[in-house]
Amino acid sequence: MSIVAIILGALQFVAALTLPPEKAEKDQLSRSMVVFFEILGVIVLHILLLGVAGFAVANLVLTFGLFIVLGYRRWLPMAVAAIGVTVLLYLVFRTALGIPLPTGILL
Amino acid sequence: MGSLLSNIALGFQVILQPHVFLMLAGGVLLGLVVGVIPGLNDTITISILIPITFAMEPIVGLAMLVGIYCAACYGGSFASILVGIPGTASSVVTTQDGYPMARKGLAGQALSISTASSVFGGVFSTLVLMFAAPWLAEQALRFGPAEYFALAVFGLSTIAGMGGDSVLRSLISGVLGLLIATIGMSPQVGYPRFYFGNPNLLDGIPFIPALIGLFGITSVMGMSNTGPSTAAGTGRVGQIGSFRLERALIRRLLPIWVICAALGTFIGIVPGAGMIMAVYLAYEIARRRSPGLEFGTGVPEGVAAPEAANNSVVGGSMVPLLSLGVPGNSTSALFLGALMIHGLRPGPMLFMEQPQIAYGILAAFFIGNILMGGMGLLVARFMSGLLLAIPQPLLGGAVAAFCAVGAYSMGNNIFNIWIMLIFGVLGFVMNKLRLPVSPMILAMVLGTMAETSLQQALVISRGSYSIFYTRPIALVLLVVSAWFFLMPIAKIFMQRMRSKKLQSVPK
Repeated sequence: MSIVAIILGALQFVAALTLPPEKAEKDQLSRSMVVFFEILGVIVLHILLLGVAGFAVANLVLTFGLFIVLGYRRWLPMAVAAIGVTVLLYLVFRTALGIPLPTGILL
Repeated sequence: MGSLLSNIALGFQVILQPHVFLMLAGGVLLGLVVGVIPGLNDTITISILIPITFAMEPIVGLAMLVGIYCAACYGGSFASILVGIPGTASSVVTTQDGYPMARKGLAGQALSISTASSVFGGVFSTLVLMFAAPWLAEQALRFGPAEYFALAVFGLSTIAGMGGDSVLRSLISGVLGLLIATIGMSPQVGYPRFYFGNPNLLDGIPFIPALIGLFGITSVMGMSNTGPSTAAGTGRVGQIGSFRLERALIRRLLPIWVICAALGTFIGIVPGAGMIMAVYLAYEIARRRSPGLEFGTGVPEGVAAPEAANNSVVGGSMVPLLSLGVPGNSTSALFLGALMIHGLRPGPMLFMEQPQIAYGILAAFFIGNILMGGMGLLVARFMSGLLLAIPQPLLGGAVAAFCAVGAYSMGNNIFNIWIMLIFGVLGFVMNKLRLPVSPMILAMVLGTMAETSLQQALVISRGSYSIFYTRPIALVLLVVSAWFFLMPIAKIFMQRMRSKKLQSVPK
C-alpha cells in the first residue's frame, strides 16, 4: 500500500521535474496552477518518504524539489542550501532539543 | 509599602549578580531564536530545559526560563514582519499589518514598532505583577465557567468586524473555524465526533500544525503565483528601510500601547483565556479606535496593538501562578514545575519565606523585558539583512522544511505534517477566494473554550440558563459582545440606507 503511494509520489516528482518551464508557456494562470500542484506533490512525497527513508533523505528531497519547482537552476547554491538546511534542522531538533526525528532504512 | 520596595530592591540585587544576569541574557537570546523559528516556541524550549535547570542554583535556572518566556513571543514577530509567517502563535496577528509594512519598504520601522510595543507591554505587565498581583489574583478566582463562556462569546463577537469591508466573508470563515473546533471528542461526555475513524483526530485538530500550514505552507504555495521566471520580483520584501521611530509616531501609538497592555495583562491573569484571544482582541480594539485607517494594508497601529498585548499576557499569566500557585497557561504550568523541582511552592508563602526567589523572578521579568529590546534589535537587523540576500525559491524551500519539522515536533507525529499540508491548501484556497483566515483561527480556539465552559456552567446551574444573566461579570461581557457583534452589521445597514437616500434625492 505505502509502496504504491511512494511510486505514485515519485512519478509526481518526475512529472514535476520534466513538465514545467519549457512546455507550459500558455498563460500565467494555468502556469501557476501547475506550480501549485508541483509544490503539493513535493510536500506529499516528502511526508511519504519521511516514514520510509527517514528525515535526512525526505528533507533533502523536500528542499531540492521546492528549489527546482520554484524555478531555481543554479546547482551549487541549491546543494549548499539543501544540505545546510538539513544539517541545521538535525542539529537544532535532534541534537539540541532531543526530538526523535523519523529514521528510516537510511539515516 | 516600604517593605515591598525593599523586597523589590532585593530582587534586583539577586538578578544583577553577574552569573544570574548572564543566564538571563542567554535565555533572552534563546527565546528570540526559538521565537523566530515557526514550530518552535517557548513551551517546548522550557519543557526541554527544565531538567537542566535542576542542576543549577534555583534563581539562575529560573532567570534563564524567564528570559525565554519573555523573548519568545517577541521574536515571533520578526518572522511575521519579514516573511509573513508568524514564528509563534502569539504573533499571528502581527502578520496582518507587519508584512504589508515590510513589503512597502518599511520593515525596519515595523520591527522597531514591534520592539517598542513588546518592551512596553512586558514592562507594563511586570509592574502590575510587582504591585498588584495578590489583589488581582483574588479577582481572577471569580471567573467561573459562566464567565469563561461569556469571555469566549466576547472573543467570537469580534469576528463580525474582522474582515474589514465584508461581514459576510468574516462570518463564513468564523463558522468554518467553529465547525473545525467540533472535530474530536466532545467535552464532558467524551463522545467522538467527525474523527473519520482516525485515532489521531480524537483530541481534535492539532492547533500549532494547522497554524503552521495556514501561514507557512500557504505562503510557499503563494509563490506559485509569481511564476518561476519572474521569481525575483513581486511579493517579497525589497528593502528594509530605516529603523528609526519618530517622536510623533511614538506619541500616536502611546494610547494603543496603554490600552492593549492593560487588555493583555487582564487576559493573561484570567487562567486559560489565552494568548490568541488577547492579540485578536487588541487588534480589533485598535481598529475600532481609528476608523479612518485602512488596517491590513500596513498601518503601524496594527503592529503595535498585538505586540503590546502578547508581551503583557506573559507578565499577566505569572500573576495567578506566583500569588496563588495556579498556572494560567501551559508555559506557566511549566514554571510551576520548575519551581517545585527546587522544593519551592508558589503562592503567598513564597513571597514571605523566600523573598529573594519570589522578587528575583519579578526583577528578572523587568530586566529581561528591557534586555529583550536591545538584543532583539540586533537580531532583527542581522536577520533582515540575511533574508534579503536569499533568493526566493531557496527561501521557500527552507521555510517549508522548517515548517514540516516544526509541525512534526508537536507530538513527534507524522500525522501532524499532513494536517499542516491540508491547512496549507485550505489557506491557499481561502486566499484565492478572498476569505480572511483570522476569523477561522480565532473560532478554532474559542469554539472549544465556549463549548466546554457552556457545558460546565450548565452542569453547575443544573441546566438553567439563568446562570449567564444573574452573574454580573458574565452579563456585562455578553452585553458588550452583542454590541461588538451588531455594530459592524448595523453600520453596513446604515450606509445602505444613506446611499439609497442619496440616490433618490438628485432625481
